[in-house]
Amino acid sequence: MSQQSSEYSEILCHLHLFAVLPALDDLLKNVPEARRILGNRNFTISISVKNGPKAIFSIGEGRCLLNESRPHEAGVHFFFQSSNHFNRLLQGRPVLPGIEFKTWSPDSLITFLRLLNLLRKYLRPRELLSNDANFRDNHVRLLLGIAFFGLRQLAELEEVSQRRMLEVPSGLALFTIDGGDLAAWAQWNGHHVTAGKGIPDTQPDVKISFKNAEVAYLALSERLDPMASVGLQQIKAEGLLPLADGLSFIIERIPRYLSV
Amino acid sequence: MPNLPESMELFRRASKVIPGGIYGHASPAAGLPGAFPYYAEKANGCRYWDVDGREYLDFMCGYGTISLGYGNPIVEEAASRQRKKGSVFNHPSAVMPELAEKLTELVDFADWAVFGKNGSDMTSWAIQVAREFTGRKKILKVQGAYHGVDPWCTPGSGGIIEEDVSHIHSFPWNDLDAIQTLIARHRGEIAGLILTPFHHPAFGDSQMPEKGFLPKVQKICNKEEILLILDDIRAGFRLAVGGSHTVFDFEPDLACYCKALGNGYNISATLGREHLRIAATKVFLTGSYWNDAVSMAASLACLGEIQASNLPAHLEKVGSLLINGLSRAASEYGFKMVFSGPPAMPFMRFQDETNFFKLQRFCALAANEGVFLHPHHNWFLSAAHDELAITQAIEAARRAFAKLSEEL
Repeated sequence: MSQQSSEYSEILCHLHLFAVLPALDDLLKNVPEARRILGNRNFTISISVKNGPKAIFSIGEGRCLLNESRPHEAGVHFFFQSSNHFNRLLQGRPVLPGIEFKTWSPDSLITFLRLLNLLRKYLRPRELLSNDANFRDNHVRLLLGIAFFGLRQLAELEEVSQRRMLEVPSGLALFTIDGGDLAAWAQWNGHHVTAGKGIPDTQPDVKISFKNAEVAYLALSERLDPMASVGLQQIKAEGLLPLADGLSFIIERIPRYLSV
Repeated sequence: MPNLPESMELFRRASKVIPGGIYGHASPAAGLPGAFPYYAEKANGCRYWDVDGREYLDFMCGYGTISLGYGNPIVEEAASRQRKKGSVFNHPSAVMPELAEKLTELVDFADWAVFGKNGSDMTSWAIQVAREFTGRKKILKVQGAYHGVDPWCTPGSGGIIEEDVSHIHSFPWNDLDAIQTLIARHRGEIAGLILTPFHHPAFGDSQMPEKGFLPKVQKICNKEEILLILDDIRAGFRLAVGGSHTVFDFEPDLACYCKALGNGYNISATLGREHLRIAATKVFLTGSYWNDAVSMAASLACLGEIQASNLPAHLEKVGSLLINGLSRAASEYGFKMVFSGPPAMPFMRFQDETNFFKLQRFCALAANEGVFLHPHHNWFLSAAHDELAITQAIEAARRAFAKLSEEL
């Protein structure tokens, strides 16, 4: 798909809104600098794209929680004229959105933009990252979250992914990293994908475990030979493998939109 | 679990110089990494040895390419005789028409035969013949059916563009209404309908045709002037000496064969009816090694042996013994197994699970006991599997069920 096509822009816009921005929650939970930026502020930001998606984020008490509806009840409301217009914000390019304050609070706006800058720093391409192990762990944590929330977007919006999922058996997939607390799950019910972080309440139908965060990072960013890694047992897969294959197919497509 | 240092070391080397290390159906990722060996050293009869020296009673038979048993003396002798004369020349050898004569004698509807090396060579060529003959574009196939690795049918997704599959339409197995719906939607545009004699998807139960399904498909195809293509690559000559269509009472226009044909020598064939001869001549068909006389000589000997020994009857017998024995051994430990597909090539699973965890563990334990049973693919038996081998396999499986029972 051409990077200039409207379908590409629209999918990227959904990924930015529903997969990348929700990573602010992991950023706030795990990065002290993010919590310092937020302080004890508590506010809501809504984002709407003309003829496109909208969402509202409640930010405060160390969390950033997404609500996909009711954008006009937020304290600060961003309007974007198009998907491309919104994508520029997440790509760190100059952009001037429409802004509406329910109550005048430029401090909230500045805090949000500072958090966004910090998120971009943690998501920047690997080659530019700090060598600090903690920084890299957080990078992987954010990527894992983006991959799983992005999975749902591609499964719903991208024709190639939709076609692939039609052949995939239903079930619950769990992805974990050995020796760490990182885990994410995705459920396919034959019609929709839902995803989340952590260990699900029910037993998974397929379990994928990465040997460590580095292997997970390389796999998520398509820098690792996945078949060889399974043979070398750097990645372990058990259970309903066609489900994992289908979900991995989509996850591996995310870097076509988001380059990290 | 097994210690497979030589397999692992070879794979480490391979993964540096071969994408995936091992690709395709033999990839460790498609089996049980760390439990199944990655590389084989040698084989004989119904047994093989891995590069770590471990011996396995084999129920995959090279994924079906071994029909008579590894190193069958009759086939090896024929191959050896031809090898002394040569394998690939500027011209085909005399064995080529001889093999075509043999196949058209065995398969009742067929008037001619052509040869390739693998299943995909033949299924892709067959749909081209259907398009040439009918002047139409579209092909109907069964959802989830495997017909090879060419772009129109590969189960993979890499490198596939929309146009590769834009004229390929799928229907569920045994669903005549879905076929009729597709035909109504694309009337006059469908060149061929390709299917296997029974549905044998990976990661799922095999499904036999419902009574009358295949004859009705033939009737519909005849009425709509759609060519019926039988993909008998996997089952051909295992269910009946004359081809699997004779078991299910229908006649295709074209049939593709491969796995049982050469007992390890690489050869595939498509057989067709007289009225398709001219169309067949118009679809270019060749390959660097496709006239290989050694494989053709081996195939000729293999087919002779399949016929002389009535291989399908033997496979049915030993397959049934295996199924019954495994069912009994499982029940001793409180497990209930479900077998699907014909006994000659059964698919097994635990009745109470759909996600394969228990089956994968059982197959890993069975491999450790020296029996190679695949958790995701139908199995294959061969002429070399005798009652003693089946008894040994069931004993080993019993030990695996016992360990599984302790673990759960």
